[in-house]
Amino acid sequence: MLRGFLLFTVVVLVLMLSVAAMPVRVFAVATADEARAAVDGVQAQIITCYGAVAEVEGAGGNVTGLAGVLNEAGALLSWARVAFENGEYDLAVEFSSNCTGMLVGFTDRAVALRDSAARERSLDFMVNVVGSVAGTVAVIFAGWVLWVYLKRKYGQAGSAV
Amino acid sequence: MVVAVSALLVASPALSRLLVWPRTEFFTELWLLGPNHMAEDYPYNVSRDQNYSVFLGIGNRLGRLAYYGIAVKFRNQTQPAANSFNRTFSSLPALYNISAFVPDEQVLELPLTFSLNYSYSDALSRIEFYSLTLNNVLLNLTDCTATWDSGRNEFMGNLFFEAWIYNAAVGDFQYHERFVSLRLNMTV
Repeated sequence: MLRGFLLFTVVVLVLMLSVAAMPVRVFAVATADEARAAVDGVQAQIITCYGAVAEVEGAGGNVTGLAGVLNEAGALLSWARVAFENGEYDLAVEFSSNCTGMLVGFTDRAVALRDSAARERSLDFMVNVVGSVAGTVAVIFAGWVLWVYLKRKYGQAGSAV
Repeated sequence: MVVAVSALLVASPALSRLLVWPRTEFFTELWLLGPNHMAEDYPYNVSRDQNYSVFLGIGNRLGRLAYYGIAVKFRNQTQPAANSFNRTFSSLPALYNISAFVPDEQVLELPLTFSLNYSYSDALSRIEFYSLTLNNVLLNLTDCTATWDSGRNEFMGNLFFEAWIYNAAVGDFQYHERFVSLRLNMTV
């Protein structure tokens, strides 16, 4: 009886130790809701960035570089959507987080570029439009002064003759 | 005379801003080119799991940065197609969406490589599709089959690309009334 109990205790202990010694692997399993939220979040982020780039373009800035980044982010979003449709939620979350990482600081860059473009545009307007109009007025005025001067000089000389 | 010419020269930067012919037509170009970057040699007779290349081009003449969504769709001869006369899109769901941001007056060209996985069913005399692989992305086609078209002598499959555009006022994508397509014959 006692031997049986001891044997049972030893077996239980061995089993418990075996379980404790087993390597524990933790899987980060995303649910469908989490994956959908991640994909939708990235879509919203891309739209926000698109709005920022549109403002840069409106200010006259060169948006080719920013559009290139958005195209790369858009590709990641497309892959995230396919992964979601295929039920690969972990992959969808991973693509979404990669996309989010790619767009970190994007709107700040866009705002800086927009402000820079607005300054350049203002300077360009001052030089090419205001400067040009003022220069034209100055040339016409100088021509008129010269004409009056020459008229007086040669008109008087002509009347003296 | 000298003063007039000088005034015109000095005024030319300002005049160049004022005397610009206004743009009156705003549109998007969408095209497909064959593997040699020419409008020829488009894939038609396709084999199972064989790779084929085309180039999809988008030209933006809308006067602003555009956010396009290119819906990639595949259909057989009986499924609904996009219609260029009615300017309607196909009611089939998109297998894949390509996001494309194209600045005004610029062109974006996307190289596309695709292959089709299908089998021929002797019993049913039809092609049964399994998947479309587009730029290494596997897309499910298991609900699609193609029967023999005796008029055209082909097992027809139609890969097409619909242009959608993001409308910020609506907050959603709207069909941009243009598409390009590739008619394919599945060889057995």
